[in-house]
Amino acid sequence: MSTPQEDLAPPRCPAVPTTAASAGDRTEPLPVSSTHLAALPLDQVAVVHSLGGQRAFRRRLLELGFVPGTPAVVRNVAPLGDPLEIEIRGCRVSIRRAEAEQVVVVAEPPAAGGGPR
Amino acid sequence: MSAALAAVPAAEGALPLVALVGNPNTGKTLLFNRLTGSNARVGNYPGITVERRVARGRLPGGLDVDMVDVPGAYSLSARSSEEQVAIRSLLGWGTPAPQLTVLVADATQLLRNLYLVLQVRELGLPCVVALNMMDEVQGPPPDHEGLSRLLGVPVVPVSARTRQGLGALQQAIVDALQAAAPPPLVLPYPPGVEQDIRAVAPVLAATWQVQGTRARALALWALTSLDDEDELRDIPAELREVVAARHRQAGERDLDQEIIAARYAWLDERAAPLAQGLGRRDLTDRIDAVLLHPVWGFAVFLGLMLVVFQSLFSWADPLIGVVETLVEGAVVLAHAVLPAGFLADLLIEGVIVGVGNVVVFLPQIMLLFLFVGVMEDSGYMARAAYLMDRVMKAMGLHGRAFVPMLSGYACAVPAIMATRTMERERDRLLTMLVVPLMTCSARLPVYTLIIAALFPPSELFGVLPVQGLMMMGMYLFSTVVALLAAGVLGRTVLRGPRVPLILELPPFRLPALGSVLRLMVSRARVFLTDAGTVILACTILLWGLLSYPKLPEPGPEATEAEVVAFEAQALEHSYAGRLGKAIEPAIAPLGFDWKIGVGLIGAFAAREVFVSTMGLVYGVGADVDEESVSLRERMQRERRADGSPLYTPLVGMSLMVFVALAAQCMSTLAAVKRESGGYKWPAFLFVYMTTLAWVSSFLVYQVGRLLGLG
Repeated sequence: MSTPQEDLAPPRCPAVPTTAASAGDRTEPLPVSSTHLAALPLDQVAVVHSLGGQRAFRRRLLELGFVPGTPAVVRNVAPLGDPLEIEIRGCRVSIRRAEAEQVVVVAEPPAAGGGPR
Repeated sequence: MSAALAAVPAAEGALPLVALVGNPNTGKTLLFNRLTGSNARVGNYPGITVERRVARGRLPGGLDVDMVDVPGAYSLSARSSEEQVAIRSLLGWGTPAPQLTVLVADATQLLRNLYLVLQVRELGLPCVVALNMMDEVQGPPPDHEGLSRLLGVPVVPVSARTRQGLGALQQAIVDALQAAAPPPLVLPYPPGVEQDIRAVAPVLAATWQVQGTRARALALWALTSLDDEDELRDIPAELREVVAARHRQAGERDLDQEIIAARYAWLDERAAPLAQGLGRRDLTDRIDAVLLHPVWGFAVFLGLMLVVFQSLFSWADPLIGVVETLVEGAVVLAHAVLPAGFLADLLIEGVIVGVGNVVVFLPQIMLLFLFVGVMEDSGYMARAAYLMDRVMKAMGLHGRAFVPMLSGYACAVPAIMATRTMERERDRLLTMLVVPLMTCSARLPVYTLIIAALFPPSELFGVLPVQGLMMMGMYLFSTVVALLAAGVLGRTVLRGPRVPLILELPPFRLPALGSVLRLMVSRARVFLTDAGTVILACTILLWGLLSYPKLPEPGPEATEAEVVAFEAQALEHSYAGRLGKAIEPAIAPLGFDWKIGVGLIGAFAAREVFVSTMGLVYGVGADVDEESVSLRERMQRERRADGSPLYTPLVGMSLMVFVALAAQCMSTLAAVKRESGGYKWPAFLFVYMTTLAWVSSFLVYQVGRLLGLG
């Protein structure tokens, strides 16, 4: 079964992220501007910081290119609020909100702009 | 365990095998269709329900090859036996090993596609990369020559849609089949990963007899795939142990992330500059603005679903009528030609009627797959799943389960075939297990008969017609039960590790007519050859039960009334009649007598047969339909031993609930057997539905009696 680390609650919008919490967050402290992918406004570029959740799920997202350091954008939200369409490395993929909440991202300052599009 | 790596030896004189591998939504199947003739053989991978499609392709120079269309995968890493198909097909674990792999990559989303290419190149397998969808690239096209140099294998730009580049791809396949295998790619990994590889490789050498770079690549596969929860097959215990040990030792390190990030870092640095083009999405985005709109999106979706449903429900009717007329003609002809006797009866009542029972499903199957094919190929199916996922998710179902569920209101058989549109076995099984609960059109005659006989036309509150309300209530009841069953089964029987939903909304494209037709024909063929045989066998068995042992027939001078009376006696005397009496104690608590029991047994052929069997049993002849007044009146006259009427409204309710929930359709069970690849799931379906039906009818009847309704 899952290790205690995998059972940790998903990192929900850590407003004061001073403690390293998630499974993927073992090396760097969380920057202040971090949030999760599901909380990101549409078309706002953010950089993947770490992935939480169970191993199978983390691995699959990593394989789809959700590697820490990669810019990602939410391009669309389904009318009923789920799933979300994400653009990453020039590819688009839709994942469910519960899963997007496990992807901790750091918003890029608007000035840095650009993004994958 | 070295057997795990032993490929099934190719049959003598077999053609070279070429595997087509790629991410989902790369146009792989269209390319497969373009490269092969219309002769695909469809089977299952051993032990799982993943379809294996093989077809012959002719290459330049008259070289014939067998091509296998490997199910789409984002990666070779696996945690389920289903995901394991990708690596099994490439290395030939338990399936024939291909001589060459054609990696199909979407040129508009190249980087993610190259991840899989890298894995195959690390294994050192001979391969050719087909850069598909070149016609849709916006911006600079990928530098295929640069990519070819980088990856060390031929990279051919093609478009399966426009057929551009197909000749060059075929030539590249011929050349690669004749060339020596290219040296494998060796990627740099962080020092920690390199140590893990060195620890795992010797175990691979000992168990799977692989060395060198192949062992290195398989060590990476094992490190990213194996854990305590995986459902992979044929993995040696020593390998599991060493991988688990490495993960334990890793401590703070996330091995998956280190390995995958290293691959992407390599791609970002070297491949990204060669593949700058993106997909052309402006038109798609404009269409999506409507189709994914909170109001218009659902309006279009519901409109389309209405068309699908209407077509299955009524447009298929004329075609079904043609099939039925042909069967009747064949029966008449056979009666005229064959000398009367056992053989004639077997051929006519068993074989001809049985074949009719199979063929009668074809119009609905082909119509449904016409819609499914067009929706899949145009990209709409993914949108439908995107729209409906939120609703379906609540019941543990996949967004794509909507179309099969809706089709289930017409007929469960094509609906079960349509579960193919879902990639994951668990999603398919769950949908297959609940679709037979939907009110299919074969239940309607039974409901009509019962409602007409037992619920006289009247109005509730002076306006609402009771009969119509009853019918609507049955639809509502079946829908609610199906959704609840999905919720329960998904949390119990089909519970498994949660896997993230991954959905892609591909650009809108015009569906290729040929491909859609091919899908329709291949589904029809699969149904005929596989489910059809089971249905035929069941028809013959039921015919035997209902006709034997025989009573001496009345002479030719017998009146019609005598013949009808004889038919009723013969049925009572038959095995089915005896079986009906034998099960009477079991169905008495539901309010049923043995005659209803015989009807329920006959209904196993198809639910609407219940009506004609009741006609036989009550001696009003088999040529009755649900509108028959004589059958209705006969039912109203039927008395129990104590003289009270048998058919009270409460018994009617109990009977309708039973018909709604029981797995009373051999064709459905045959379709589930076909799609789930064995007898386990149809057996489960039969037991769970019939138990549910019995318990529900029991509650309806007994609680109703306690309330003084009976």
